[in-house]
Amino acid sequence: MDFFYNLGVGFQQVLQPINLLYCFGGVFLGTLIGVLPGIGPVGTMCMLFPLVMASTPLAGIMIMAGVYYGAMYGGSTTSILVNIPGEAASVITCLDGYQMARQGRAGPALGISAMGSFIGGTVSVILLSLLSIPLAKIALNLGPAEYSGLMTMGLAMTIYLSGHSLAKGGIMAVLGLLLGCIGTDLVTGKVRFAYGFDVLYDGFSMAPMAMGLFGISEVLNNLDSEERLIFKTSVRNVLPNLQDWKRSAFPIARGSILGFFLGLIPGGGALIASFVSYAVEKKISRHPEEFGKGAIEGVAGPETANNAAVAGAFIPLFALGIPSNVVMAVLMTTFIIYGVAPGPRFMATNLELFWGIIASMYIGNVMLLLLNLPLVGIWIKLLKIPYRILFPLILLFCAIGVYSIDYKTFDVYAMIAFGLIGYVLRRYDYPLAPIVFAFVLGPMLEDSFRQCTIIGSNDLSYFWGRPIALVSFAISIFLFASGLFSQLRNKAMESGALEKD
Amino acid sequence: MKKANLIIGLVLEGIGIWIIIESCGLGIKTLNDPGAGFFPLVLAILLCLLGLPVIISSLKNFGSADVRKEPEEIKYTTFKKIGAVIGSLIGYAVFLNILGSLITFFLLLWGLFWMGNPRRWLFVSGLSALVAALSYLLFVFLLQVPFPAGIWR
Repeated sequence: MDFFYNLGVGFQQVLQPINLLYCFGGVFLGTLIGVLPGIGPVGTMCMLFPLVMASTPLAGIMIMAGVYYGAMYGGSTTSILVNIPGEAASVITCLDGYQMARQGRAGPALGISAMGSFIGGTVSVILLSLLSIPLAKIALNLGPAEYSGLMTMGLAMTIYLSGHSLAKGGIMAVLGLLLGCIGTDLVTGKVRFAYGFDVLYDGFSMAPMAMGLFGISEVLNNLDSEERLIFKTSVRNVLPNLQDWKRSAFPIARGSILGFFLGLIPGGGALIASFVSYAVEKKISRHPEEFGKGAIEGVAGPETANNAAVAGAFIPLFALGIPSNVVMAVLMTTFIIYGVAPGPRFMATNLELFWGIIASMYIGNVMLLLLNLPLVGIWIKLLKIPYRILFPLILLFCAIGVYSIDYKTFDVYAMIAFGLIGYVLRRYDYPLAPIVFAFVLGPMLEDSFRQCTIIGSNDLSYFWGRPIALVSFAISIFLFASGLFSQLRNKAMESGALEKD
Repeated sequence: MKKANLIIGLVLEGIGIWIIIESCGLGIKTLNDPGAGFFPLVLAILLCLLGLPVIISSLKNFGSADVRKEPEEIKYTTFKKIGAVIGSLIGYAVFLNILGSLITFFLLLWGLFWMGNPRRWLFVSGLSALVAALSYLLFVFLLQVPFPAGIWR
């Protein structure tokens, strides 16, 4: 009963015209950046900080969350029509979505993608609203040892899933952790690595780093991109027919559940969910040979899963106060801007805000369905905007956004530096997500570890009595070991193949 | 790639060693009672260890002709474009306090639009003025972001 009452309170807040406008703004912007390759949700969310600072906590968080799940919807449009993923999580949709468009079935591909996204998004928001509070109650019993373990596991998972090289992922995470050390050490009061710069006494800001790595470097990377070629096909019959529904129903159902639970995993999120869903659908299909040639299941499953993963990713943040991926790390910064600490006590002390966010997700998903089905033509037209017009706007909003947070030109210089570093790192296959993710987790991890030493009276045997922490550390070690083993095996196979050649 | 990876690896080792030295100055103490330098020290050692495989693999492949993973070389035109973008952004940071937000927005946009649409003076100037004015309205008037007034002070 409480559940429906609380949800009603949430809806009451979101249905106020100004909040509806913010919710719509978020999902609209999310779809827009999803459709347009060249900037992702992380960069866009950072650009929105000036807007966030001028609005209420509910409005600000709603718009940020809307950008994230809106981008998942929008990303599929570009994948299907242009064969370029608008968002990383839509990469796999290119395989069958674009083939469907080539066969004159762009409409059903876009339609099933929007419907699947809506169903996956809604199912996972229901699960989020049902599971967050019980999990937060469990999390209240966790201490710094468990937090140290869980954060280490989150980092290990992010490194493990970040790319083909464990060393490169590890390097990026360590660099992020080191950047998190800059500033005043809260235990001893010593200033670390500030070198006389007053602006660094409180530590580095996350926004210049995220905007540089995910905004500026993305633009630098795309400066030479060719104008996009939209597949010339009329987009009609957006509503899938009965046969399409029959083929897509189970992939959508599986994608919803799979996506939600994969979203929960630290470092997982929408990208992993879409890949796993595709692999599962291909594996269990009676006609796996159709995959890659325009199978509608190859669009329905992954598109559902990537949206379902979004709501799943909110659970670690709401229940534990630990972001599960880089987008959640940015969202956590937004909470902090408002003086709200996400974590087990968040729901008890900010009940209205929590249910407001949940209600906004239900409404946002309906808005996205309307934006992506009847209004799909608008997004197709937007795809025709040349990049030479878009990139100056992206750069201007980055430059304005980064200054608006602390009103310091130092942040603009930092953003430029990170942009250049990000450009180089992208070229040489260094994953960028672990650096920002580790930067946010680093100070929390160090604090938890030092709290453990204080609680345990300077004796680390304190950890022995904490099974959750021990299991988390063991999983982290296992992840590194298995990653290392599979890399060594791949290298051995590669060199074997080369010798044969 | 191999040369670039070697340079990246060496830079990482350099950063690692430098942080190890700095951390020692901050006070390390013990694992059971860590000082301000303990956490950075552990991380710096990890960085050095992780940088080693990068250096070793690039040295091992230095003479080989395996170019499968080589990224395309940056063309001179791309290099110029990157320089122009970075230069425009540095210009923005330098002139923001001197000229104020409205003029700086316009100049940044003008430079960037010009890169993609050279010799279209009227189009570039008109579009830059329009976007700069709208951005000024949104951020300075509506969102009340206190940008420096510059020469309008």
